Amino acid sequence: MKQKINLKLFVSGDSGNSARAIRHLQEIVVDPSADQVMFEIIDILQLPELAIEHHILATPALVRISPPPAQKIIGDLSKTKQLLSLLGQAGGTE
Amino acid sequence: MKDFKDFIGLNVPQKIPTGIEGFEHLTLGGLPEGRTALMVGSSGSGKTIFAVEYLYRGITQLNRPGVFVTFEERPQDIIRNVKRLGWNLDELEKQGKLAFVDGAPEPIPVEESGPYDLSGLFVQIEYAVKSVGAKLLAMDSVGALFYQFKDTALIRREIFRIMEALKAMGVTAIMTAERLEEYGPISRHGVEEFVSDNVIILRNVLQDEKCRRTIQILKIRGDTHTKGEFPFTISETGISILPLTAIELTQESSTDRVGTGNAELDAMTSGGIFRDSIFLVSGPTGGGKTLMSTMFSAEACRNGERVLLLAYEESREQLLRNAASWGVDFQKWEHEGLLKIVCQYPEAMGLEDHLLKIQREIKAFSPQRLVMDSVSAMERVASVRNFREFVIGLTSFMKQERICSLFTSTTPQLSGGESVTEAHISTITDVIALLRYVEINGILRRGIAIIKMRGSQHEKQIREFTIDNKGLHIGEPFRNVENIILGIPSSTSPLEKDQLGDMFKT
Repeated sequence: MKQKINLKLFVSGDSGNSARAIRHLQEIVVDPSADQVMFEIIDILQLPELAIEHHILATPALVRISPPPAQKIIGDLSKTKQLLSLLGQAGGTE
Repeated sequence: MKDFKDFIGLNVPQKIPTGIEGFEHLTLGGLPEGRTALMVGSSGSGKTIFAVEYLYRGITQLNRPGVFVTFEERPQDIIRNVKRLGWNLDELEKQGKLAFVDGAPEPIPVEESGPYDLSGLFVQIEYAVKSVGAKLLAMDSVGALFYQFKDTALIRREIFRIMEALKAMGVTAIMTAERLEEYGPISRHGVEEFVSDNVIILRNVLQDEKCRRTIQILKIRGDTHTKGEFPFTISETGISILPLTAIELTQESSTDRVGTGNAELDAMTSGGIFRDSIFLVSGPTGGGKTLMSTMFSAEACRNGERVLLLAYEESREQLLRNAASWGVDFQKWEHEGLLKIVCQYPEAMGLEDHLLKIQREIKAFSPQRLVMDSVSAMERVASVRNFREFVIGLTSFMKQERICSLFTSTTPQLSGGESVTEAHISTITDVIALLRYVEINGILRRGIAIIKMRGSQHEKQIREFTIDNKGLHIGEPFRNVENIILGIPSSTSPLEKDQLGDMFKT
């Protein structure tokens, strides 16, 4: 059985990069429940404490919180290959 | 047309002090308020310690809260590294006067997928500045950002954006960056291209097998500062810059004379040397220099003056024994608090550290007189340039503190000859006495001459002197001998001896 993937996407306000990153993530993860992928979108302009806690220097940044190992992708996620690998590696047995 | 009055409101930014020893002197006031200064240096040049001290002094001495943004080391490593200097950064953090922004690379894989910016860093800095009400900030080192992120053009833009934000918040910042060569391009990655208003260079140059740290203010826009490279040291109290040429010779000169400890020598100098003089005694080994130092010290103590005796050639025991052999009880003076003997091997530390130590000894003991036996011993531990700076720094400090100083210098040959010390020191000293061996008809005799005395008449003849267990006795002038000072004494006809005196005019 697949372990549930927990992601956090850090964006800064409504910048172009942030909007594109959200769109790209949503395109891949169409149905969060079916794909067993959970993601949360965090605006660091509103929650700077979370940027500190998760060590966010660059945005947009997608962080895989679980399962380990932790991984991070920065950018607007326009290169789907990296996004898939982040999701795929977590898939384990596939 | 614009009148100059239109520009009156546009004052150059005010400078704010940093609290770093010597830095205000160098920059004529500190760093421009609300601006970011770029500090570049090769690896190990002292950038991080400078950045930390800037915040530490600012917070503890000037009550200005600060933020430390680190891109290389983790905050806990920095806190630990400066503990040995007695700087408790974690304590300041707890008190809400210091905040860290941890921008060091993460131990997890990071991939880049499409365009991004550094808003996260931006937000963290802004948050930290607001949380402690920061007036100061240090970023160490922005060069590391270029390794964390691939888009270098973006990093440059973002650094610039952060600087603009700091300016808007009224934060005075130091940003460090690497350079590869000590005398090459200003910085790696061309950081200076957009932080060009204020640039400071730190260097750590290996010169004649000795490390030499220097600081140079390349520019402070719209204002003056001291030019050139200045040595600095990192000691147990942090950074100390030695602004050697900045000490102004503005003090009034004294007309008050003090004894040299030898009545005949006092007579040769028309009644002793001036209280604010620097007296150089040059001579070969065994030529009577240490004896003159001892007499000079004893004379001061007899008059209730404090003397600091810096010995670089002999141990304390040797000094005490030598003094005792001439009937001078150094231990008694030490006991009375009039004499302080500091023995140190020249090799024990670099010249900058020696100078710093001497300055500290002087500040702690506040002597009226100082003896350094010998200055030339320092030659062997430094390059010529380094030595020259040391001598200038030392003499200007003595002048500033108005300490009557006796320096000895050992000449390379028995008969004299000029040492490096004399080449560098003779123009700075006020009185120079030469002690020389003179071989006449196969017998070695001793000669003394005062070749220079500022602001006073002095005897021009070369006198013979002897040393016995009572001390130094100056006798009659030499007759019928010439070229003693040049180290090649030769007999001369009685007629020519009259010309002798002319040779020693200053």
